[in-house]
Amino acid sequence: MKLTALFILLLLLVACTDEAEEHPLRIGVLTPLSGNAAVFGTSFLAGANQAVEDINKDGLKVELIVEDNKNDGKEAVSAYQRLKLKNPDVIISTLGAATVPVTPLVKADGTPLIITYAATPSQLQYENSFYYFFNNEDNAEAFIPFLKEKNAKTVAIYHITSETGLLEAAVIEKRVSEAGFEVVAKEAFLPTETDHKTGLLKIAAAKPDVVYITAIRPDQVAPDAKKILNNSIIVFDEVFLIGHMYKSPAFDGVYATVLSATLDNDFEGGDPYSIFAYDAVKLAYDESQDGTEKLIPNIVALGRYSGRAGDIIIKSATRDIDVGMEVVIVQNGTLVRRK
Amino acid sequence: MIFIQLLINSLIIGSIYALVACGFSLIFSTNRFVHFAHGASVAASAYMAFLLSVRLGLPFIVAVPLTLIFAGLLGLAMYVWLYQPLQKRKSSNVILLIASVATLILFENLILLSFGADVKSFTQFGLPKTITFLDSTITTLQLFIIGVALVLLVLLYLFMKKTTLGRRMRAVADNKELAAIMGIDAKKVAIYSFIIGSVLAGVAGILVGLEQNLEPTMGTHLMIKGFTGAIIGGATSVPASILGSFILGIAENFGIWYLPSGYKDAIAFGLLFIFLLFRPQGLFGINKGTRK
Repeated sequence: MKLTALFILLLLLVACTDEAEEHPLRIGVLTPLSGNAAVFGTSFLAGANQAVEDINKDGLKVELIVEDNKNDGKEAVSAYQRLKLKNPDVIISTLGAATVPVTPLVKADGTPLIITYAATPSQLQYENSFYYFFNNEDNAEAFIPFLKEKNAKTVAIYHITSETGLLEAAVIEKRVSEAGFEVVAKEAFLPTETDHKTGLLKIAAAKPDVVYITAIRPDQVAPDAKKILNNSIIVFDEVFLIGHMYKSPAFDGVYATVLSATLDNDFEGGDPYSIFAYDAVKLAYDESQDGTEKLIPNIVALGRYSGRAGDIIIKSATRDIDVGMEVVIVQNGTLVRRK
Repeated sequence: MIFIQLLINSLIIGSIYALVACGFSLIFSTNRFVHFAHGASVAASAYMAFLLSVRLGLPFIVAVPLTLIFAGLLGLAMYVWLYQPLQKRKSSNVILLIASVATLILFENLILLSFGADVKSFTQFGLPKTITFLDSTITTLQLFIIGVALVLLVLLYLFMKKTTLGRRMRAVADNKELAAIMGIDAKKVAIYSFIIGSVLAGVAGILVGLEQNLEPTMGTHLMIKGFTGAIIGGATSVPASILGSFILGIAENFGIWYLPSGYKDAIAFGLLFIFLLFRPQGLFGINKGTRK
């Protein structure tokens, strides 16, 4: 009996010691590492790992716990449940399709959540979730002056049917129409689509001056777009920067909205996704120094954050951010500023 | 002129579906189980061609036959190491189907681990030239894809009709038991069907890689469409599967001219559903259950 009591006491002691022991900040990362959006996840993870390496130069201060959400809602919930078992202090989640079903669960658990890329308004209603990325308004801010500059009258939108693509197309359509341009065609395609010939043919039939394209795999759209839309100006959104897709000759001569900081950034191998991942990890680490529960209020109170992605204004009321974007042209695999 | 352009678009994608479908159908007709891992042969071959020609710098003309040998061996390995042991244990077709889907997913992930998720392309060729006629356009590469597909499909047809092995394959496809009584070694026929079918998948993988770049999940998507084409035409007949694939290409491309492009898969799966429900033997297949 005494022996059993001693054993239980020892167990309790060990448990208490573990609890009291300081551990590095555990950042849970939910990102697609397989499936059709894996290119986003691997790029994101590269940036996050770079940040961890930089922070841990003087000892272990932060560690990543990574789970593959496959950019799929069901998989994301399961990935979140696996992640939760590992007790993350903060969670960073990427891509809307996989983040939407996870956000309420994270809310219920009360873990701070930083969403990079494609946050929908529904995700921003929770006190513990924070969006850190550029948004569709930023894209529109860069796109509309470009249309004026090119004396365009008509615009067509070719977009992916994911939650992200639908949201982006809706914002671009609204903003372009408000600015006095006519949206003559709007065509959606599935995320798994690899053959865009007929969809683009429908766009070409409307004879738009400019075609705005948003795709999860722009490399699969670009060759057909250049061939079929040869009478229109083609503008991709910034997605084609992932994994340096724009270096393919298929993108030569097309325009794209890009984060201005990308053009100036010397981050090795960096594209917006790895840059934002880097910043998100740094931000989570910096602002959780006085406790992870203070993370979100601390970020909101910051007002602005100067990271690798540039000097980003954080609007505390909407938890939205404002970043500098511009339209560039691709020439021989490089992004060329127009001014 | 839109009609011609839509027809060209249908022919391009139909050729790719047909290459996947005829290999699948060849294997299905002689083995009578659904070999979904056929999609793995498509993707693995595309990446092998990329490895040999881009990473190792071999001339494309050398990389292609090596890739096709690899595809054939891969098909053989799948049969010998996966399906044959399961068949020896008298596993049902459902078990074989599950094993094939698992293999497809396994290969998808192996490719992801080995090559990464970023976009791969055969950069050495640059962009193909565009040919315009009757206000319609097609690239030299797309023309090449259609040409290769048609030549291979004719060769396959002749092989099935004129060679001893082809006739044996047709005999096994028609009636396995009767073929065995006639002294045909069904196991040998199955092995050859896996090798030839996988080589055809290899050709499809290379052509798709040239046209649409490479991604680890490329085999799954193509396999689903190839399977749909085979069901529409008649999965037990290679020529019927080929025709079914072209019909699928036409239905998709003409369908989304009138419907939003996002309905493309809905058109394909709608057709699949209708055929499975009302004409499971396909448009050109024979319903053996009603044959006298």
